Amino acid sequence: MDGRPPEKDNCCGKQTFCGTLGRICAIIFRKRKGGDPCVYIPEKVINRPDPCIYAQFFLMQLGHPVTWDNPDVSIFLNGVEQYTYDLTVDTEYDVWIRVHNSSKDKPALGTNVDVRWIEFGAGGQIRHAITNLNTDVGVWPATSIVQTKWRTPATPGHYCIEVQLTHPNDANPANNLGWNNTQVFAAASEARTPVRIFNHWVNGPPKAPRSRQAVKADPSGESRPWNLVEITFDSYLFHDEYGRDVDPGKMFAERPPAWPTRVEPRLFHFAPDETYRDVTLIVDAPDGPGHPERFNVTARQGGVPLGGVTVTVTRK
Amino acid sequence: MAECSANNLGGNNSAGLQRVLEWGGAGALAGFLVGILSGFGGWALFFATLAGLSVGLFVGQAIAWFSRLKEQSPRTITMAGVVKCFGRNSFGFQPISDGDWTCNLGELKLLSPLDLPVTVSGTLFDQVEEVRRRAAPGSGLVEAFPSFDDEAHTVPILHCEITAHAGDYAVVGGAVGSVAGLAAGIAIGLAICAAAGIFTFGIGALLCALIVAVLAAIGAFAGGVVGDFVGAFIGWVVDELGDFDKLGKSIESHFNCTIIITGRWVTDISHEHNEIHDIEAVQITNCDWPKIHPLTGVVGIGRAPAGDGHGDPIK
Repeated sequence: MDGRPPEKDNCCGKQTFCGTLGRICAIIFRKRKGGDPCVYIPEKVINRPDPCIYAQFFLMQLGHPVTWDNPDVSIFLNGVEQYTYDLTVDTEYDVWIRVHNSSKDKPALGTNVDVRWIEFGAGGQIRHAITNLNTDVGVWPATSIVQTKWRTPATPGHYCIEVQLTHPNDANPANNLGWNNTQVFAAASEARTPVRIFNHWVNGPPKAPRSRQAVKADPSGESRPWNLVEITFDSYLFHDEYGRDVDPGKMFAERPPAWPTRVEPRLFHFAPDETYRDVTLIVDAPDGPGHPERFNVTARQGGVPLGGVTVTVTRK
Repeated sequence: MAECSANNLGGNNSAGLQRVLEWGGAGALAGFLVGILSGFGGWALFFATLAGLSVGLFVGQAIAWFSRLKEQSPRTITMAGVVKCFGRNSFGFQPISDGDWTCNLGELKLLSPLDLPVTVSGTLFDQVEEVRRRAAPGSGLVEAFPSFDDEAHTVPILHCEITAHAGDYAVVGGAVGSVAGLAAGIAIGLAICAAAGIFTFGIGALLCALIVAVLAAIGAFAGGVVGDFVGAFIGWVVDELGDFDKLGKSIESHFNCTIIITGRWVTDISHEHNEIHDIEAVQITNCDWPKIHPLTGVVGIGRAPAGDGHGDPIK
């Protein structure tokens, strides 16, 4: 039986007797509705470590702007930081990953760090293993730097680094995935660069397991519209700060494109069996030398975040 | 202590009770048939039916309890939201209470999985509505009914629960106790008949049938009640032992705390709505804000610590 007193749906149909009996039971067992002002929750549920990283998809689900130049992931060649797009074939790089833990009470011991590369662009589906490491992260504000070597493939390509954290006792498993997907090119009149958008559902519309009754009512069960791609772009900058220095309003302040910018096409539908489509980022930088600007291109398919790239346009 | 009610828009909130009553009816019918086959009549048949009803209700309660949550796919989801209500049902004596922690989570955001397909009617890209309304396989529903924190249905929520062992053990204890009580009642009745030596007389046989039937009915009901209570107590002890050092945290529900909940996504067919049940992890990010504050994002990327349920964690 459900745990509700028989006040409205009483068993005997006599409001007076059963209603009174229900109220007596409620008084005896203090069953009232509306919750409690203060509720204690056991440790195994509420006091857990939370290994985490700058997780773009987590932030996007909260409605925040993101950069795909991950502040917690860096690639170096002889000590010089690199952009992921222009890495040289068959070359060994140093990959650094910073792992955080937002718990003040529980260290994140034995955090698994899975490092992979995928094809540069938004929504690459094929993952290639780089390495799998373990690290211990102390309580907040401690962090752990994980380092590994990575030799790029012998065939030419453009890359995105993906980092996935896992922990068996994670308080929040949704903030464990971070991408580093960056490119740089020089400004020109209407500087253009292609950005590859990958089809998340290349095998067709996603199906959800539903009740028989739901299937009968709507046999297609299609996510609507699953193949629509929407691309947004901005010049958001991530101001990395910690603890009392953090101003959330400033950290997630939206910033429109710094220069006239467009993506062509900005909206499209994937055709059946279409694996990817290249769109073009077009930036009209001001003439003459000046500070570089960043442009974050982010894609969603059927409302689902696909990913994105951050392109730095330099002015010399 | 007080629970948080999920006020559903539509649906049958007493569906669970009806399932139990159906089992009770089946038990009553079984008791009646057994009585007939045993040659009972009149009051003896009545009490045999009553015995079957009691066993049916307690056994049905256990069956309905453990089969009420239909699992969705994906099994596990992570949601962020603001606590609209948090409470705990007292003790665990079923069906009055189950001892569970209950929470109504509003201002919802789906954090994981990212690619949850949206299939419910009347929505576009709204994954939160998918979580609230998609009917799980085996639920028998076209759609789950959306839940609200208030009876006026103005504050949409997702109902979430942490399972207490007390409720589980209570229904098992009630079922076992009822069956054991029935058997004991029958055995005692037969022993009384044998002791009185009245088997061989016609009037004595009728009286014996009545004695057995009455004791069976009393045993089935009393055994169920006692078993329910004992089970709830044992479950409460198990719950206490599982958190012996009390190193958990408190949430003050008046503080508008934003929490991130990870747990099993189900359709609860007792109330015909969707829930996260059982909650596996709760993380408090911040309090003192009626909506999801940007501080939740800051905590999520490790730039600020998770909160402790009392105000701003970085003040």
